[in-house]
Amino acid sequence: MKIAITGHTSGLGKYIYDACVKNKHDVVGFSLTSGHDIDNRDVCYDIIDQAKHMDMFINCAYGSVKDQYVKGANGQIELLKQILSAWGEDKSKFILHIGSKYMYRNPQKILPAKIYTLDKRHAHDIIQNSSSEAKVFNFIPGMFESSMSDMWPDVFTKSKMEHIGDTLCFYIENCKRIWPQEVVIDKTDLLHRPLEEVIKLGSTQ
Amino acid sequence: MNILMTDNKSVLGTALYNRLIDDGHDITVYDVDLNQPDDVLKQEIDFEKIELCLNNKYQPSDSDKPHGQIRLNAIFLDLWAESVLKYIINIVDKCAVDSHVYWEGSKDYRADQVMWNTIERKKSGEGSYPNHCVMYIDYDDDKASVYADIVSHMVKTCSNVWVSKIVLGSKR
Repeated sequence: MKIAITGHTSGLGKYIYDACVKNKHDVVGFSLTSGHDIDNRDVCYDIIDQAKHMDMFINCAYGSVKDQYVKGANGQIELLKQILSAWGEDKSKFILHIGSKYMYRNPQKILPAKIYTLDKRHAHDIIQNSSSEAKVFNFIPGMFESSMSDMWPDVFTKSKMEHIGDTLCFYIENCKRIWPQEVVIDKTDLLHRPLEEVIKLGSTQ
Repeated sequence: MNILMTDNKSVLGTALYNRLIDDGHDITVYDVDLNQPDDVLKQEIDFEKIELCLNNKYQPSDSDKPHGQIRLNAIFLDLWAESVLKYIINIVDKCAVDSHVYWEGSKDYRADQVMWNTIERKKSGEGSYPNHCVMYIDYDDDKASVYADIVSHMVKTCSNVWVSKIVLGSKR
């Protein structure tokens, strides 16, 4: 299977990329370190131009937290919109979008966290309302071990990245039989607490 | 793992039962009457020993009370309150998460939404709770083996990765 993936040089994206290569898939990766800044809309067009000939698009990289109303849409959302459009009438294509359980939070006062929540919620809404014929799978993990989650206090219960990655690989390998619309992973038991409270808990540990 | 399931006679129930037996699990089957779900507590079942409840039986409700699957789910949430090493998988019809317009007035639609909303509210509180999953499916006998594969995988990996919600089937 031909697979395109963003964020393939670090974290969960790297884990999936390596697993797909190991499983003999034809994989093409796009990441910041390989010269693909997904927050640049022209770069997104370039990625989609290459990815549209593939069988599966894994929208893993988030891009950067930024004020979308000032600087334009988040890169992951831009790629989601473009691939849904490119594959709008193709039932044979698979899209795996990496969401976040953070979208269930109430938007926080702290701006980066608020934007991240709204971005993930926005992507979820785009998927829910999409009329694309492509098969879209919104994977929504809770907190797991990654460079991104390192900034959060240890009061969160974090899943191991390899466990999350192995779960994703199960679905990728079985995509023609099993392709969910949505999966939510739940190992985080403090998600509904206000962020300020979580940070306070972490700082007292 | 010690698993209690509520149906092994339907096509899906049979596929699930056979697959979980093949995986080496100990299965107890209680053919629940979903109009009398409280009767489960009167059975000679060792609920301390049971680790996972597979709430997989579906039957239309004949009462105005919440659907029997919801009530069974609530029974196990209460029975296993504070037990983080217990697991509940509810297999319900995907009409619960489909566009409201197709199912307005359907008792099942309302009931299934209640199930998800109830557990979300419970989780927003303090304390522990059993691991809980709602698996939304299209009831299609041709897909029984696929669903069995998914449940098998979920059970195998449950101590590391818990799927709390999964939506399967075609988009309506």
